[in-house]
Amino acid sequence: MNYDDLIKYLPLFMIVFPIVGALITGTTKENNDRLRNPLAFIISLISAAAMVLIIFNYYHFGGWELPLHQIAPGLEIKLRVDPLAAIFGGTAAILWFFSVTYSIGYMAHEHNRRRYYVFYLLSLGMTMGIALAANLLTLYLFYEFLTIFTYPLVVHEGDDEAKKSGVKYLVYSFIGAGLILIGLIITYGQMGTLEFARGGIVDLSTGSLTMWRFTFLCFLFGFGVKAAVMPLHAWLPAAMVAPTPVSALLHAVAVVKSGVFGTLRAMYSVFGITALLGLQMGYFVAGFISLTILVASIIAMQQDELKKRLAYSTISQLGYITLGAALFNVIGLTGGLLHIINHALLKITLFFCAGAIITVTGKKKISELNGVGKRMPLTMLAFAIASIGMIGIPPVNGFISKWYLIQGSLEGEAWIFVAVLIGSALLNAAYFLPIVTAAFFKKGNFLSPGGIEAPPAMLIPILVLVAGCLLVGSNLQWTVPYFENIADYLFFTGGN
Amino acid sequence: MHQEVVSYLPIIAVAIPLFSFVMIAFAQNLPWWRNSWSVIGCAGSLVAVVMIYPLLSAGQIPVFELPMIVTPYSLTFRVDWLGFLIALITSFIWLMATIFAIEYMNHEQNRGRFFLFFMLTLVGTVGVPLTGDLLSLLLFFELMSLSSYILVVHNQSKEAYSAGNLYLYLGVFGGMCLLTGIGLIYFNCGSLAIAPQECMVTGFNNYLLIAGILMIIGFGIKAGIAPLHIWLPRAHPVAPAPASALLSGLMIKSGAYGIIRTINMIYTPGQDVLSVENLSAEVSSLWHTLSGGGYVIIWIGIITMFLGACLAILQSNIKKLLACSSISQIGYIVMGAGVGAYLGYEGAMGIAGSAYHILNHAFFKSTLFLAAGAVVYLTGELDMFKLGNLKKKMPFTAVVVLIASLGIVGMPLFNGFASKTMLHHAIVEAYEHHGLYSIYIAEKIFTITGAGTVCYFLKFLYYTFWRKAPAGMPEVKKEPLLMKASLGVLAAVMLFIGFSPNLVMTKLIAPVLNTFVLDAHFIEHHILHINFWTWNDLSAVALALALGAIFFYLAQRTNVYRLEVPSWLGLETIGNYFGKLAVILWLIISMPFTVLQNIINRLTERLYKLSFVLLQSVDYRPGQKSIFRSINISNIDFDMLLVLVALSLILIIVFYLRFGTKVFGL
Repeated sequence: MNYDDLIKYLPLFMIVFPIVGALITGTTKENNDRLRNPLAFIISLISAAAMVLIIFNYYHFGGWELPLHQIAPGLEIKLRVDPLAAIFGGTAAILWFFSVTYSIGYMAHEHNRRRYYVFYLLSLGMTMGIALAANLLTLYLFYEFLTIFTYPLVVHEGDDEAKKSGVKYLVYSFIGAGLILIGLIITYGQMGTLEFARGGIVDLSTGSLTMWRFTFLCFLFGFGVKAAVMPLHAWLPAAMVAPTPVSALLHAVAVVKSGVFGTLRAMYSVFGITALLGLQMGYFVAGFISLTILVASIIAMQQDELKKRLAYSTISQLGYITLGAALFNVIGLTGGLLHIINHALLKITLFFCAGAIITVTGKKKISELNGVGKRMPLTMLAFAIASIGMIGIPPVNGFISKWYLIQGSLEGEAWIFVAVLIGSALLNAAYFLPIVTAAFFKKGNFLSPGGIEAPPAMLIPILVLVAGCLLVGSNLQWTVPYFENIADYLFFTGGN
Repeated sequence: MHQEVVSYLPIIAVAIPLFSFVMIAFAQNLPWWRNSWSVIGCAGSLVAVVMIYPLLSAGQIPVFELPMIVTPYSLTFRVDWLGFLIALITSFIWLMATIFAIEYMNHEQNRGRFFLFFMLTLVGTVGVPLTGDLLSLLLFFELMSLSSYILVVHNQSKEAYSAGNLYLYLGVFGGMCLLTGIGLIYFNCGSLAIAPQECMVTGFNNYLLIAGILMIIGFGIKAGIAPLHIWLPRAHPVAPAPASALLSGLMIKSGAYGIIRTINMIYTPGQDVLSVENLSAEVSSLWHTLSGGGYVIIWIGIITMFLGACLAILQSNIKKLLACSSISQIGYIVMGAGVGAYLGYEGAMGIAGSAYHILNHAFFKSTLFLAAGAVVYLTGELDMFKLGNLKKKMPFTAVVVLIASLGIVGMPLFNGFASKTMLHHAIVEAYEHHGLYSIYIAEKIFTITGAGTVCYFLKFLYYTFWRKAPAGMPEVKKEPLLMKASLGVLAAVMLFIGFSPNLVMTKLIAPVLNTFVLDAHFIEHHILHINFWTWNDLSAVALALALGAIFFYLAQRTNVYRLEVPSWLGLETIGNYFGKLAVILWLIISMPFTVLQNIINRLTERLYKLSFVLLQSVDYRPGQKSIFRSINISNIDFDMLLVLVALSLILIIVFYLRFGTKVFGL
């Protein structure tokens, strides 16, 4: 048993450890927070550390595979570390750690904490499975599990509204999964394999163009359910009844991003750039996504509930990533990939702020937040900075993805998408900045905090993450070169 | 030519105020702490900028690059003469305003926050002219825009809040225009340098034209050029006086600076292309395009200056009068830049006039705003009809205001004279070049605006300082020392500039021209050896003064000043019109999306119901509730602990059987 073997099995560890951890957490008594909180904290910390170790190894020694089980020839359960996995897995695992920390503060006064933590950690394992899957079958498997394990988190409140939202969530997810399954079966039937490969596995000449287009749309809308592509988005705003850490993580980072991640996999690892260009659907997809971006922003402006506004903003921002991927050029894809990490950081910060506001003041509506900056100056400052990032103003990190997306649109000779991006940025300003200005400069009934403004377990993650937004936004050498490499890798035009 | 040297000075000039900002943030409620760090920040920045001067005089260009910071290429600092000039003015006037603010802010709330963002705005404003590429410029520009918002809404009144909103959203809009413009330029040219771009000659296309227009809109919003000025008369007066001094004196100059950089530098053919004997067709066509653009900008400038003067005459609030005057004066500057573009290679006079007027206007406008601040600080009143006889009560301020006003109307021996004369020369040259009748008219409007300036400053001086105090005039306190000090220094600098226009010309303004693509011969003969004391120029000034005095007398007699501004012309109404227009536009633009939104909503509902019914019918069990309906994990709890333990045991055993041999080496 040596170091190399240990590293080799790390991807499996990433999946099994949170599951085992969840089960151990499940053995604690409901009211024994003093044992359970540190336990959950340590489990998520170890998972994040292991993921960092994987990424570290990937960048020094290259990727590796870990076959687990073969069902039939070409149908395998298999894990693999590759750049796309590294981005998504890394983002999710690290942010999971912050959310668990935040949950300790947020959940202190909630009921059913034990169930909450068990499923929270189980979902981590499933997300890692999605990130590290080496073929469509494995991805599909964990994708379904993620739906099931996040369901109890969505219905956590247990009231009628939550149950209704839960059913909605399940119905939508199963429609999506069904579509993916159709695509999966066609692909397997035609190509005899489901392996993710550089440059893709699909050979358009094996079937009619119409059939491949149908397959592509199955994948696009199948994964599009979780990625909240309109008109399949309705579950996301409804699922905002969940506790805020769940909304933050699952609906801004893990679940929706797993949808986006699936779309990217289907596009670049299953179809591959040659086949994608052969389908000639780039403008259709990008146009479709543009509508999602704009319409979601406009709906967001009409929302008065803070979390719902954030949810629609998520729908809009996820469109950026898919748009970047659908431009079919390296620069645009770089922008899309950068936006995975940038949006995750920004949106989780915004959600954490919203949660802190709910915990401290009990206010959920934007119209009730006038002058809240007096009560929670640091939280609202973090909110302001993240909003600026969302609009895409330097030096916060949203700017860089926007810049690459603009360049990518121009590269794809589609100036209309530049207009879409800029229009969306202005809409972002129109629905984020009023919250910030009203919080600081309108008169309200809030008083200055006597001591610390929010529980430290919540405030510290907010501050660390907002500092992360600024640092990632201003130190581009940490992200941009790698992401350019990854886009190159996916395009099969070089890179490592 | 110029030689680039790596120097830390530009970044130090930005970093010192940034450091002060951080330090103030630690203890913003300790007066001595924040005051001293504010002064240190401004003074440090000033020293660093001044230390660039020897480098520039020796023909060196300080450059500093930070790769991959904020921009994906590199955060570049590169200071040429124009940048140096603006940065110098900025940091100097900022220092004076800070000293003034230490006293002034005593009667305001939230002092800590004010000083905090005062510093952050300095970082942005001084950073704009020091940067060497467009994205870095955008970074500092946005920083300036956003942090100055907090200064605008400082007193948190309803008026300030709505003015601030207008300022903020137009600022964001402008920033996005700039981002798009910069994106287009980078895509077409592959370079972000603030220098003549090669691609303008080799591949000028519609994208670049749009980029140019977007850049002018983006910078123009900040500068306050004609149709985009509406935020300015609302936002500048509501800020505390030191902040309005900087908004009006310096920040609108960043916009003007951007316009000059765009139309007089980036969109011109480079020197190397010009040194070829015969100009290629592409170069001539670029000059032609540029000349057309310049013509439009000249008219924008003329309209802006005239409109600003008209608005100023109608104001009774001192700060609003000064803000409208700023619009008018920015019109002069933009017009100069326009002439520079219009005349292309021979446009040195316009650019020089603009640069000089930026310098002058920064001084007198910030002085006037600070003086207005002193008035409101000592009397609590800003309406000039309720004031009077302040020359007795505030003699020092009165003298300073007189000096600044004489400067702004262009009186010989005061500082506005030289720059206004040069701008007048520029517009006359523009007329003589192509002999267009429309430019002839523009020149006449220029003169009338000069008279208008005289008229509204006479109004300001007469009502506030000269005439007998009206009944119910508030008590006047004594002028505090710190206020006197900062106003005095500014006045002294203005007097110095006024007395030695040629010195300033040769030392500061003429070198600026070397950074542009201009006819060296023309600069040598017409600018370096310019003689301001000719009969023509003096008579032009005399004409403006006489006309202005007549206007003033007539207006005084007919009681025009006392007239309420017709409501449809008032600033608030114009703002409201704009707001209504925006709402209508918004409705029109969002209409298709709203329709789409309804369709999508309906579609989602249908889809959901359909799938729900489908799932239920699959799930049909006679006599029982369907599983799907009765799903409810929300009451699950771990009384089934045993089950789970068993599950985990199974998991471990499976794991062991499958991998045990490999992992544990068994």
